[in-house]
Amino acid sequence: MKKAGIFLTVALFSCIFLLAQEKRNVTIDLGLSQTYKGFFYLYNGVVEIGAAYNHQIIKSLYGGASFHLDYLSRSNSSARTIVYKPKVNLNYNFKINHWFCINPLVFAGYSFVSISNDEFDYAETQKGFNSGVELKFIWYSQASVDYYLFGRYDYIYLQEDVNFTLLEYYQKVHLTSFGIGIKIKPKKELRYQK
Amino acid sequence: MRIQSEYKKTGSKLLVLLLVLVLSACNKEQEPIILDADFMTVADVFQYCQGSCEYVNDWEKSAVLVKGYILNFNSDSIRSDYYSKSKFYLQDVRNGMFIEVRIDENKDPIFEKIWPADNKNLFFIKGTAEPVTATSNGDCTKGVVVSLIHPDNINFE
Repeated sequence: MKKAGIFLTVALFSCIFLLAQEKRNVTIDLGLSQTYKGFFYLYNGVVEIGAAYNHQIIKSLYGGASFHLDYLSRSNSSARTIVYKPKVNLNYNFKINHWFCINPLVFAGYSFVSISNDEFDYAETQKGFNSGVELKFIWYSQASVDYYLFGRYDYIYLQEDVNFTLLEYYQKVHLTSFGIGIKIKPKKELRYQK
Repeated sequence: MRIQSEYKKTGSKLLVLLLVLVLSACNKEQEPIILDADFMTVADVFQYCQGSCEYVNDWEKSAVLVKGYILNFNSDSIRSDYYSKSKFYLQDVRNGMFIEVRIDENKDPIFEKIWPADNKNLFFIKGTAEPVTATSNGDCTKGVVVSLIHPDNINFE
């Protein structure tokens, strides 16, 4: 299933890339992630990394696909969890001035939560629908990339699996991440080009 | 202009669809769980067997089936500590949660049965969910310890 998810994401990216030749952008970001309540309460979030491909739907409204990965660990333990998050999104650019814009984004996807503990030869993967919101503060630069700060909230509702848990409470996974990223502009949209 | 309007409508519909997806992951009520129907994970027992001190919870004094790994059972000093205190901790290796298992009777036969195991053996325990109280900042909450009284009620693989 994990491979299928990755394949679908790659396919989605490829389709969007072929269909949207103009008014497109690619974002790559890196953040610190954190879990709240629920099954992963005792985990320390470590890092989230991901990329997105967006193209213009109309004016400042963009749509796209993304793939993010959260790596979570516990201190003094070999327990590790990796969350794979392929998603589709809609986002809107609110231009504040010549240099800054705010970009709110809503997304939905299907996530794969891979839990392992090498010390006990334990590994399993749970999966479920993922939705959430994100806010980017984008700084327009003169270079071929813009820079941004982001905050993201992911809510994952894991499918029922009695071997994993009998509790509704543990089916809900809450993740936040905050970090920095770059937005790669297409050559046609380069600002301040001579 | 007309095409732009169509795009706007499509965009709005997509936005609404995404918001519906976000909201569709709504809360469900937790149905009562029968604690001795099948072996439950430590994390489930830990979370389900909690509550306020103001009332008696449905899980209190119930028979419970729980499975997990004995915490740090490869350490000799911790093994002797468990023996001297007539208890051990059962952990969920997926997320680090653990619960206390109290040996209220038959201490020697129970420890004789579990000594050959190590921290990588998965234990299956049938016990009783006993409430314990804790007070923090004036708030009293109940947690659970599992009471074990017979060596036949503990097995490992």
